[in-house]
Amino acid sequence: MGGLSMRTLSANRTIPLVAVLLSLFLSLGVIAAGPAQAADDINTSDKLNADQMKRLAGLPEDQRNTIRDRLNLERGKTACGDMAFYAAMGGSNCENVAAKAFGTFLTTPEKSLNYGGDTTSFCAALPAAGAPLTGTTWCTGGSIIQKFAPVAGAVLRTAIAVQPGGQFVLGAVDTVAFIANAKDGFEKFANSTKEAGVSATNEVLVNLLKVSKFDVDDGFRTTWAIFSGLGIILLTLMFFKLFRDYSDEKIDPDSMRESVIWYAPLAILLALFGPVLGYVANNALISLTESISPWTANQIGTFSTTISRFASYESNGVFGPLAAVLLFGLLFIGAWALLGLFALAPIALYLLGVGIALMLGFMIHPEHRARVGKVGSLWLAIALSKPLLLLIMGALFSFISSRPAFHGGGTSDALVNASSVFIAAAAMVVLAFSPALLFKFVPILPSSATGLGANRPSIAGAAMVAGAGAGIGAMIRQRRTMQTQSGPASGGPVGPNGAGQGQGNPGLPVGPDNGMTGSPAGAGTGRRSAGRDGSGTQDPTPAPDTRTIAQAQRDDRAGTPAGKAAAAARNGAAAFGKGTATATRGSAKIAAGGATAFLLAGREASRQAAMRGRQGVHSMAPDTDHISGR
Amino acid sequence: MQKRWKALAAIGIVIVAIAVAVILINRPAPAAEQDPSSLQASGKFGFPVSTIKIGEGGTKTASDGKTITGYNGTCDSAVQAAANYAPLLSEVNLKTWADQKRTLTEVSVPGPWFEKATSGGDLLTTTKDLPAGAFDGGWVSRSDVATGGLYRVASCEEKKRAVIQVFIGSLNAQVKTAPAGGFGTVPMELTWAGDWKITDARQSADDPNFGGRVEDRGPGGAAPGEPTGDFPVLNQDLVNSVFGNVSRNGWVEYANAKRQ
Repeated sequence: MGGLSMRTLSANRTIPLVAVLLSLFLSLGVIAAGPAQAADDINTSDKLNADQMKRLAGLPEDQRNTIRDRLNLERGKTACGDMAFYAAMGGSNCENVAAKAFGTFLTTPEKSLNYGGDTTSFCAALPAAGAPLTGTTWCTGGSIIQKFAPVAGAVLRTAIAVQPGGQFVLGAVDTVAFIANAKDGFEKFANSTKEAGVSATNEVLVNLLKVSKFDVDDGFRTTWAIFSGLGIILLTLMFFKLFRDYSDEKIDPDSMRESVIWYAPLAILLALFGPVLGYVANNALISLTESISPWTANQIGTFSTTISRFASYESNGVFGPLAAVLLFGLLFIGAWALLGLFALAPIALYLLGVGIALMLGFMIHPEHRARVGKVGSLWLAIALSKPLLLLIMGALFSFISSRPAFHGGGTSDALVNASSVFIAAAAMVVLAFSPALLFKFVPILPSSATGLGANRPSIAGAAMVAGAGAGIGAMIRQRRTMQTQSGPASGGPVGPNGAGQGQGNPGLPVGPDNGMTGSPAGAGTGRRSAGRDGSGTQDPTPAPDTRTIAQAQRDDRAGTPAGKAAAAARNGAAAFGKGTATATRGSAKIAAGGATAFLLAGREASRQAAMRGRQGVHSMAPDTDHISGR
Repeated sequence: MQKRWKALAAIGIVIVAIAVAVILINRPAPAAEQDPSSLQASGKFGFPVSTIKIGEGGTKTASDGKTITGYNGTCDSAVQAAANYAPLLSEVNLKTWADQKRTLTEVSVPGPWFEKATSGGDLLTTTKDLPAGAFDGGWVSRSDVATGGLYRVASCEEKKRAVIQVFIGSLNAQVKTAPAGGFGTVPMELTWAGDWKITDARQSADDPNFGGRVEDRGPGGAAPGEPTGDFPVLNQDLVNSVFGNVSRNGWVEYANAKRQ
């Protein structure tokens, strides 16, 4: 019983440990991310933001030209506002001449917006624009004060807003009251819900791209340096564990060689070059995003026409206050969830990035290696999800914009209008929660350790079970029969093992009678399960006929099924995080000793097998280790 | 017991990791390298502050009764002279323009530069249908050296020649609104002829580095926002904007520069 409770403890211990590490990791990440975020302050009051610039870039050429001309005229007005220049230019026609002069070198709206007060080009362009000589003279030599400062802020916004397409660039929207004369509190609530829903959707969508930028910058490199330092400390600790497990024969020499010769240097190399790899990958994805985002921005732009249609909705028939509260409320939630999703991506990438740095040490241990890969692939998946989401968003919004409710003058049908709001809201909600599926496809933690995906078999796990498990199914059944006949010596260790699995993974069916029914866990890796099967039986006579040829070959390639047996017995349950059940070491040795002699080919393998055999024979003596819970 | 030992070891590792991380994170960031300068970078905007003041240095005044002359020929006095001469080169008052030109003649050596430097004022005072906008009794452009309050010595040889840039604040008449504030840099070449005399001044738009004598045209730009009719007050944002694409190297603050 002591053994049982101890093993339960050991299985349970991982979860709090992981929780402690995670919380530590998160808090450190937040501390480090703070300054990095603060450095990225954007002055929104003066210049157009990135989204507005993108929408400007996506406008038709003629609209862009009118906006450019309008901006240049504003510049001309500013320049001619100066009394001395106005006088030098001979008065009345000053603004037009100056605007023309600006137009010769500020040829796009972007150039005009970003004009930094370059007087040389302006003064040089004045004669051709028809300025009097005095104007040119005054311009080149007459003023030491630079008056042709960039137009910004309110002037700029007003100038753009009055142009065709300008409202769209600025992303402004006017909302009318849903119920013209709200009589009671609920109708007022419906009004405010509509206003909040429409304006939040509009604001969020037009500013979406601003919040989602992730850069592998100096801040990240510094944090990576700190975490990879810790990762290397963990690496050394992992080395201790590796050697210990090797001496305990939980790891076969092949895996050991792989770990030490390949994975240890690889881990160090990754610690050094991780940010470089991340930079390259991230920049490739950023350029991918950049190439998609103008198109998406345009689709969102079209959708903002839709939004303005929403803004003009009024109470009509069944589309009354209650429907308005629910539907516009959903729209509100969808918009913010979408924003939240895009806002979380950079921090997820940041934290996962430093998490990889921390986990580098785990790479050298065959047991934990898979997790590093999973975190790495999750990082890639999240980084990739942004362009993908933008693509889907563009498609969704272009679909919504093509609904009949938004064609021409629209429709007065209450249900069509209401359903259009619902479609838009639902689309955003679906998009916003779609990446949560990532965790289902790439489960980092044991499914029981995360609320997400608990009690649901992961896709990866299912695939493994389907692939490896199917071939073993029949064998397991056969083993089970042998197991029940094999007496108390194996019953002791196996029982607690099953219990441990039950603790770690309540969702999986675990037979009370027999540890082997826990095999879906072990079946996560076919190799280990096979080895464990061999070990599970106490009968020293080998049972090669129960193994498929492929499995036998796999085991042979791997070198020592006995090592596998021990490792599998201990780790099979741990594979894919199915809990850390301790093993049936005694029986494993006994069984393996006999079995391996028959199974193995190759010198190395035979040597190992012989050793196992000797050990097995020694172990034939009553062995109570497993009972005491070691 | 072994399991407990493992648990304790794991907790120990976590504690050590936290400790190391906390130490690493709280490690003071390497201090920014400071420019090796004899003057301490103690000004509000990070410029070194000198002991030289605007409006001091000479022993006499010019005929306008306010421009100080009679310097002792040191480089410090050249810096003082530059500050005191700068308004003559940047201001235009329709009513006192002739006096100003005369004063400028007193503190300078004639040359082709003189016509260029005074062309703006000449133009304004000779234009017939001058638009409205002049403020406070004829001012078209008025300057306040202390508002800018910075100087840069491009070169200086005692009692021989000095090239100095002065960063000033200004107020410019507008046609439709109140006068607009701005900042600009006045470059000047001073030559010793018993006193510091201006031998060249005011770069043109097509000669930003003053004939190769200065590093760049120096800071300048309009104050943002609607014109208020008051001299602008320098703040960090304005400093960043006027120094947007020019170097901050070598700029030093006058001891009595106007700072909030």
